[in-house]
Amino acid sequence: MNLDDVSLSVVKEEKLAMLLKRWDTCEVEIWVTDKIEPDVSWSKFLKVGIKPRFDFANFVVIDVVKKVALVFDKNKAEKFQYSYNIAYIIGEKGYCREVDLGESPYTPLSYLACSYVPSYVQLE
Amino acid sequence: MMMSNLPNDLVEEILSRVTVTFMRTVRSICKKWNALTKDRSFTNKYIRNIAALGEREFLMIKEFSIYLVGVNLHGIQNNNFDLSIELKGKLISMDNTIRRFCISQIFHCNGLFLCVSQKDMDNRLVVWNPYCSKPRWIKPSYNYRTVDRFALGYDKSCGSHKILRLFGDNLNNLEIYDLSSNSWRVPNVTLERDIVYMQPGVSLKEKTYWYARDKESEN
Repeated sequence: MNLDDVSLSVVKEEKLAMLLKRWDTCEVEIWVTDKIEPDVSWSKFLKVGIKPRFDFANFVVIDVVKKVALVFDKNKAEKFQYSYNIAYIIGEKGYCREVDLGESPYTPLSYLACSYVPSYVQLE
Repeated sequence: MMMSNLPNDLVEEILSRVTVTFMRTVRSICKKWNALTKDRSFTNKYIRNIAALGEREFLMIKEFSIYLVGVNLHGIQNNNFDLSIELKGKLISMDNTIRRFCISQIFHCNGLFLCVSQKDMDNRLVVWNPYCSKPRWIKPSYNYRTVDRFALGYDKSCGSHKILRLFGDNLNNLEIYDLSSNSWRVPNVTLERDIVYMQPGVSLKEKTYWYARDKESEN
């Protein structure tokens, strides 16, 4: 049975992106769609080793051309009640750097962040 | 010179540089500013300014609030990114709305976002475009469970935004809220696959995508 973890994101309201963590490695891959209709086709975008015990979270693609993405995670301090939102900046050639986004107790991991594009769409 | 004496287009220019997280404060200052910042031409200018900066934005749940976060990528040198991440402020928080608001899910669609709060037996949904409208609060049909999953979408056929709720065993039950008619209904459809409940769906070009697996066989 396939036990890989998959999370979805949207790139600039144009493409779908998929974060894939295979069950047997600590590497994550990001794939981006070339087309969605009528059939979906994907291209591999980035592949980075994060850390052995990386909890699965969501992500946003920052730049498709320069190949930069943020992958979100939580960092638990010594005491469980102090947990931090963190982001890994990931890029080509295995680039991975951790950034602290501040203390945040009890945030659900898979809904930590989502990409946002402003619009003038009004609610009817 | 008082700011109220400035010509309209100059006031518009100044206000279009204010971070959206402060826009509610700006609108509460006077009727003129309230009307001006809700105007379509102002919103367009506001959004164009952000696009011109080349900044990417995302929403983050932190300390029970939703923060707007800006990301600026200035360049890459020696395989090291010159990238800044700025917390631009709270969009919705426990403090300025209601005390019992405890955000557990966010979902983005067309510049609107849906957030789901859950605390004790008081469940609420809110839909909001922070750039041009007031938050809209929606009472669920009945109290939902932590494992229920929500999505926001736009139905072109009736020109209405709708909220999808997935619930029950393997998230196989559906319920839809129509934001035009303000009513919940149960659609007559069956999902062919099981949605992986830990992972949120995403909205793109009026469709919502989820990560799903083939149904496990009875054997």
